[in-house]
Amino acid sequence: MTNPYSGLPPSAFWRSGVSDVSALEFADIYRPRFEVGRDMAIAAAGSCFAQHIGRQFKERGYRFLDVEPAPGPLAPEKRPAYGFDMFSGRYGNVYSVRQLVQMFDRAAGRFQPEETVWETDGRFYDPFRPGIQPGGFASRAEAEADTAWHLAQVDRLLDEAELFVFTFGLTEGWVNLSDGAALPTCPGTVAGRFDPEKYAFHNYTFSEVMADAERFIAMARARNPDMRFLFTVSPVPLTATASGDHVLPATVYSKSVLRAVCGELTQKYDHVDYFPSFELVASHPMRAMYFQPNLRSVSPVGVGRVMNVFFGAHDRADATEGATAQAAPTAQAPQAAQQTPSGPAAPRPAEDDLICEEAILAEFGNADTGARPDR
Amino acid sequence: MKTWIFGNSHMGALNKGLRRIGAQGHDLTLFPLGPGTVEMVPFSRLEAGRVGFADETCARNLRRFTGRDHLDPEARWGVCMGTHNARLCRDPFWIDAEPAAICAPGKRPVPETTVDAIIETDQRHVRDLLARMKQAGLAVFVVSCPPVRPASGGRAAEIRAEVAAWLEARARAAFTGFLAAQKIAFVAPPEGTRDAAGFLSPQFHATLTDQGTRDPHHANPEYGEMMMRKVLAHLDAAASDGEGAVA
Repeated sequence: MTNPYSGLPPSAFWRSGVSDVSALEFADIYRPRFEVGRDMAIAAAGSCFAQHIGRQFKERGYRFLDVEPAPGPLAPEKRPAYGFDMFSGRYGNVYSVRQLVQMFDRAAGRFQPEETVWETDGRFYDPFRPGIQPGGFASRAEAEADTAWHLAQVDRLLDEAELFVFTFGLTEGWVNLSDGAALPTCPGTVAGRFDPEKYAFHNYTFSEVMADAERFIAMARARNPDMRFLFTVSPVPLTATASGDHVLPATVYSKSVLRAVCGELTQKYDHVDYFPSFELVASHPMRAMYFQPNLRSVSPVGVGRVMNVFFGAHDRADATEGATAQAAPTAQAPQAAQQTPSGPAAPRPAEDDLICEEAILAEFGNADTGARPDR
Repeated sequence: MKTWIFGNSHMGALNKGLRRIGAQGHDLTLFPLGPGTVEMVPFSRLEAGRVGFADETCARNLRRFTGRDHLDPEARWGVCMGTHNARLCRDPFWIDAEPAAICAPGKRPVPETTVDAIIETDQRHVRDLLARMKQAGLAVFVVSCPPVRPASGGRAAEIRAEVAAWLEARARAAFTGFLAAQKIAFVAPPEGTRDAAGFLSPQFHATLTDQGTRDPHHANPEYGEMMMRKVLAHLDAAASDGEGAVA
């Protein structure tokens, strides 16, 4: 006698899919719903875990959009502190979908928050990107000009992206009571000043997150009807909760809501896929092996594991469909982010180098200029 | 006390200037460390209390001109590096982006602290050298490179002159601030060598190299002579009352 479970693959059963196999070898834990090819224009946003995803897309030679590329002459190691080379725009961590929706609403001119600049000790900060400018902006005008340029670039993303990757981070957040503007951090932590008359804690519910996510999908597909979405849930627990609960159940609430939203979105829309980064790091079969000793930070090995599962699945899809071989997906592969002049420090004008060498040799004939033989 | 002055390709004009006026009793030798591109890599090192060069071109030139693998602690050292701002001011990034303080409509505004981080990136390896020289107890002073010249061709010509001049001033202020903190004397460009915009005045431009190539950014021997007079004055002051600063 047969039943619906007869003939299901081993991955469908806990024993053969989990308990009898190494956690390092879960087969088919991620089966892509659609191919993510290297020529697909990809945009990414989300919580801090999303930074790894964006970086990996770039390093593995995917067409990762960056509408606010780093200044070429800025040292690569300084760029993340200034919000560069992390996501597809210089928006910093976007922890809630409400924040994401409002960012694109602001970019499109549909939402104008009342409070756009915070001043602290004579320096100025963007409430929606409080950590983006170390030391703050020099003036209110400088902050406003930077924000205006930033939003103008962000507005292009929904036209240019073919795949939008969003990592859901938190349900807890802080809002400005006057207009509901969603803030990425509590005022008074990274920047700003906390005022209980102005700001309030809000813990988004399933229905709120679901509605925001559907709103984002709708606004994105209004700009690009073929847009696809890849959603993940960050495995990183809350640093702190303002809910009044213990931080552990508060974390489980948050992640459960976000995971459930992703589940419903995936069931509802063919153009939405879910990648189980949360499960690959934070589920109990992983025995917390990918967390640092604080049981919060994900280790580089864990990040590598998650990324290898993702790209391994898509590389298989590439191979299955006979896709043209691309550069090997190693961490050392050349950066392929779209837009310039980002990436490594811009090359210096060769003509100027030659002039410098000539100037040295003309005056100090026996000097070494380091010139190559072909010069 | 033996004085050595080394630096980038701007050493050419300084040496021509020195030949015109002579060392005036000082035991002074100038030599090039390498082209300005060496400033973009970690070219110096401090080992066992001695300062040497990690960059092979620099190391070879030090040995070729001084016969040593490290900077002689008994000598006085002048460094003509750190203010070669043409590299910074002519970077194509500044075609579409401008410092927020003077940003034209339609351009990408770059906040002040980001500009400062870019400047620090450009100067960091020279700053490292100077910090190592101080750490090793060497007598050191810095000789300014000429003020930057306005771009006259290529993509750099698309950068607004106001932007290049602003960056030159900002970069010089940052570097001299660093030198002041390190208590390192700085010999600034001679009075009257800048035009109204702050660029090197045209009468001090080198026009062609000795090989006949158009020279877009060096100074000429007239400038080198004026600069070396200031350097010699600095050495006179240093000989009489220690390592005094000359502005």
